[in-house]
Amino acid sequence: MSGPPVLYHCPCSSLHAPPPTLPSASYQSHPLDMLYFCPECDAVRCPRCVSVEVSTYYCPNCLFEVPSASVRAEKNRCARNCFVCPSCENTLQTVPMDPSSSAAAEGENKERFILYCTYCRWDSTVVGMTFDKPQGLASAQLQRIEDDSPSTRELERLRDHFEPLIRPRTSLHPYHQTGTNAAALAALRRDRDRDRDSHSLRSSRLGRSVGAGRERERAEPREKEKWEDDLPAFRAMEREGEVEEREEMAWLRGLGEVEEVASLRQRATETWDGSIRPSDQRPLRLPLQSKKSKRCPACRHILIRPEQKAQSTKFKVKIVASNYLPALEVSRPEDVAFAAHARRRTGGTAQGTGMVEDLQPGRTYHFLLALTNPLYDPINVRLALQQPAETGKKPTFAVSLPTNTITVAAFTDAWDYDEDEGADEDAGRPGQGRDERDARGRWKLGVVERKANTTKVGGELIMGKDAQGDVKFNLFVTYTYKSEDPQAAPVDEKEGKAEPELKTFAFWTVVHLGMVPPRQPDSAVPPTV
Amino acid sequence: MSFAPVTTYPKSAYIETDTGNKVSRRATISGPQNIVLGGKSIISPSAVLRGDLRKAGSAPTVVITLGRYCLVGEGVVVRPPYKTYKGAFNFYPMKIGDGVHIGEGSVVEAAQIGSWVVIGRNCVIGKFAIIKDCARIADGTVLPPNTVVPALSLFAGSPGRFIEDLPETTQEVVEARTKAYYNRFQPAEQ
Amino acid sequence: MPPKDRFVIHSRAVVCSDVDLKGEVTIGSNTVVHPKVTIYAVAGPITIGSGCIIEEGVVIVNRRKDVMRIGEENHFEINSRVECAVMGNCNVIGTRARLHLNASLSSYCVVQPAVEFSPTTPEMLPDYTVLYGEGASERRLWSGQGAEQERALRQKHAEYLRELLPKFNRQRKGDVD
Repeated sequence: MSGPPVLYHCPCSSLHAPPPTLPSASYQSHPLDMLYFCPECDAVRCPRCVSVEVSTYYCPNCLFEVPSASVRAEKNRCARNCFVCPSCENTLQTVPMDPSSSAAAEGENKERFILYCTYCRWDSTVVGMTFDKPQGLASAQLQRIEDDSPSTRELERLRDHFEPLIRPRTSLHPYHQTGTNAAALAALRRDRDRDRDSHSLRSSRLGRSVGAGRERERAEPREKEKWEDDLPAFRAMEREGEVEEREEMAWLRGLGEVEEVASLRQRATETWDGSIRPSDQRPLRLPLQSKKSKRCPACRHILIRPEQKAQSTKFKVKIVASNYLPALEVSRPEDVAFAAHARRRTGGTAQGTGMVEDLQPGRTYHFLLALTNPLYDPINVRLALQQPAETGKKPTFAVSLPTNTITVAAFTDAWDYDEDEGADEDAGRPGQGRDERDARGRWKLGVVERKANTTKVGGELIMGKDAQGDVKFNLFVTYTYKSEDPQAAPVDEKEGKAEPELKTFAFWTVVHLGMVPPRQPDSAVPPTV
Repeated sequence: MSFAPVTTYPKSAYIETDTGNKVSRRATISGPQNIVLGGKSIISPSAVLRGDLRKAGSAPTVVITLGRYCLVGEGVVVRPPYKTYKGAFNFYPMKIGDGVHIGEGSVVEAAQIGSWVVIGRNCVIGKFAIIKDCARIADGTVLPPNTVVPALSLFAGSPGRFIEDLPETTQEVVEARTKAYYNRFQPAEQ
Repeated sequence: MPPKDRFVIHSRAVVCSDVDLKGEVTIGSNTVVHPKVTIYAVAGPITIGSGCIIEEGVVIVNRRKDVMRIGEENHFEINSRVECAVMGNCNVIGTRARLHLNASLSSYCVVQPAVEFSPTTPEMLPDYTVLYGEGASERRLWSGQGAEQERALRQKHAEYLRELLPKFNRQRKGDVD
C-alpha cells in the first residue's frame, strides 16, 4: 500500500522548495491531482495562485442555473424554493400542514404549507410562517420580508451612496475580485507601500484588473481626488435597534440555560441583523454556488473552463499538471506485506486508510519510488536530493536514490486497455516478476521494475539514532522529453524548428516516508511487524 | 495506483457472473430478479440489497440498478426509498451509476447516485437523496432525506453539509481507482 | 439461568423467518419484522406493541430484569440498536442509531440516524424530543406538526409490507397464536 501522496511544489510562493519540516512548506506543495499547468509560462500552477472567475451560478439544492444578471438582484441566494434550516443548516422541505391544524388555522378546507426540516424537525410554524402555495416561497413571500428589514434598506442606501465610485468598472461577478488572485494581491500590496493612507476599498477595486498595471498607476491620482472631492459624507439611518437591544438584555437576564441562546454559528449564517433568540431565527434562502474558470496568474492563459451546464463534470478547457508531469508514488515494501496482511484480517475495502507502518530510529529501510509517464513519448528522469546545506539543519536520517538517468516508457492507450482486462494481476506482490535485489542479494539502488509507462526505482533510508517525527525530504525531479508538437508539450517556444527537440522540465516534490512515533516513557514500544 | 496491492479472496467465496460481477455468497440479495448489476461490480460479504421492496403491481420491475465497477462494501444496506404519493404508499427504484464505491457499514436509501461517486464508511444516505457525478461523501456523514449533493462536491457531517469543491481531475482519479480495484480483486490460486 | 425461549407472535404480525429471537418475546398485531433482525430477551421479557416496523439489521436487547415494554407504531430503522428500558408510541429510531439501557422514550420522539444516546443515569425523554447532531450533541422539542401525516405514512407502510414481505420471505410463526 502506498503511503501519503508525494506532494508537488508550486513555484508561486518561492522558487525553491523550503525544507519540508517547516510549517510553511505544507502550504506550498500539493497532490499532483490538484495542480494545473500553464503551457504559455511552462509552469505549474496551484489552487492558491490561479485566478478564479465565476462561470455559472447555480442553486446547490434545486440545481437551477441562475443567470448572472439576476444573481445580484436575488442577493446570491436561491429565489425559488430552497431554504436553510435556521436550527441545523439542513435544507428545508415544503410540506403540507397536518389536516387538523390546516383546518384550524384557516377555518376552511384549504391546504396550507410549511417549511420543515427532516433532520432536527424545525418547522416554520415556530416563527409563525405558513404558506398558501407550495411554490415560489422565496420570491413571493420571504424576499419581501428581507427587503423590508432595516439592514437591507441601509445596505441599499450605502450602495446608492457609493454608486458613482463603483460604476466605472461594474462587474457582473461579485466574486471576481475576491478570488485568490496573486496578481491582485501583489497590486494591493504595491498600493499600500506607496501610499500608506490609501483607502483599502479603492486599492482592492484597482487591484481587480490584472495586466493593466501601468495605466492604472497613471490614472490613480485623478481617481483619488475624485473620491475625496465628489463624495459627500454618508449619514447612517436612524438607529432603530436601541429598543430591541434593551428588550434583548431583559430577555437575557431571565435566561436559565445557555442553550437557550441561538448559537454563534446560527447567528453568523443569518443574513441580516440576527436575533439571539432561537425562536426568532428565520429560514434563509439557500446561498448559490458557482462553477469557476481558472486562469494562469501570470499570463492569464485559460487553464480551466467548465461546461455551462451546472451538473456537467466535463470541461471545455482543462490543463492539469497530471497530463504533463510524471506521477510519483512512494511505498515501503514492508508495508505492502503488512497492509495486505491487515486487510486479510479485517477485510478492508478500496477506501484504504493509506496506513504506513511507523519508523524506528537507528534502522535501515528500503522504499520504492514509482514514476509514471503521462506523455505519449518516453521521458528520461533524473532525481536529486536537496543538499543538507540548503535545509540548514543537520538531518537525522539519510536517503539514497539512484542518481543515473531513468527512462520511463511512453503512455499509450493500449496500457489502459491492458489494465481493463486485468492483465496486471501480479502487480503489487513483493518479489514477484521483479528484480528488487542485485546479484549478491542486496537491495538494489536503481530500476527494479519496468511495466508499461511506469518505472519503479529502489531507494534506501537510514534512520539516525535520534530521528523523530515525520520523515520527509525534498526531491528535485528533472525530466527530458521529445517535443514534436509545440502545443501539446510544455516548451518555451522557439520558432522555425521542425525537428523533434529535447526539452527539459524540473520540479520539486516532497516525499513522505513515514513517522517515528513519539517515544513512550519507559514502557514497551509495541512491536511493529 | 502503482502500489495498490492485489486483494485476493477464496474462489468459492464469490459467485462471478458472465459480465464479471463478483457477488459474495455471504451477501443477502433479496428479490434478485429486481436487481440489475452493470458488470464488473463487487458485492461484499454481509451486504444487503433489498430488491424485494418493489413498487405495487405484478409487472416486472427494476428496484436497484447498479452500474459497472461499483463496490458495495461489507455490511452495506442498499434499500429503495419509499413515500406516499397521492395517498398511495410505494417504494421507488434506486439508480446507481458507474464506478461508485460504498464504504463498509453505510446505509443507502438514495433515489439516484451518479457515476464516480465515493461514499465513505458508516454513512447514512437518507431517502430520496440525489448524489450527482464525482461527488464524495466523507466517512460517517448523515445525509437527511431529500438531500441533493451537487457534482464534484464533498459533503460531511450530520446533517451532511457542503465542505468544498473537489478538484477538476476527480473523474479521472476515481475512474482509474475503481477500475484498478476491480482488476486487482482476484481469486486466490488454490 | 437464561430465561426459556417463548415467542408469542400475533397472527396478524409479519415476522420473517430470518429473524433471531431469544428469551421471552411478544410481538403485537400488525407489527412487521424484516429479515436479519435480532431480538434478545436476555434477562427480562420483551413486549413489542402493535403496528411497529422493525427494519433489517435492527438489534433489540433487554438486559434488565424488568419487562422491556415497547409501545405501538414505533419505527426502528435499519441497523439501529435499542436496549432502552421503556418506549412509548410513535417514536422513530433512525438508521444506525443506538439507545442505551439507561434511556427511555415517551412518545413521538425522534432519534436521528447514527445518534448514540447513552445517558449515565436513567433518563426519560419527554414527548416530541428530537436527538440529532454529531454524537447526539443537539436536542430540541419539535412542534408535532406533521405527526398526523407521519402516522398515516407508517400505517400504510406497515400495511404494504405485510402484503409484500411474505411474497419474498418465509414467515415465522409464534409458539402460540
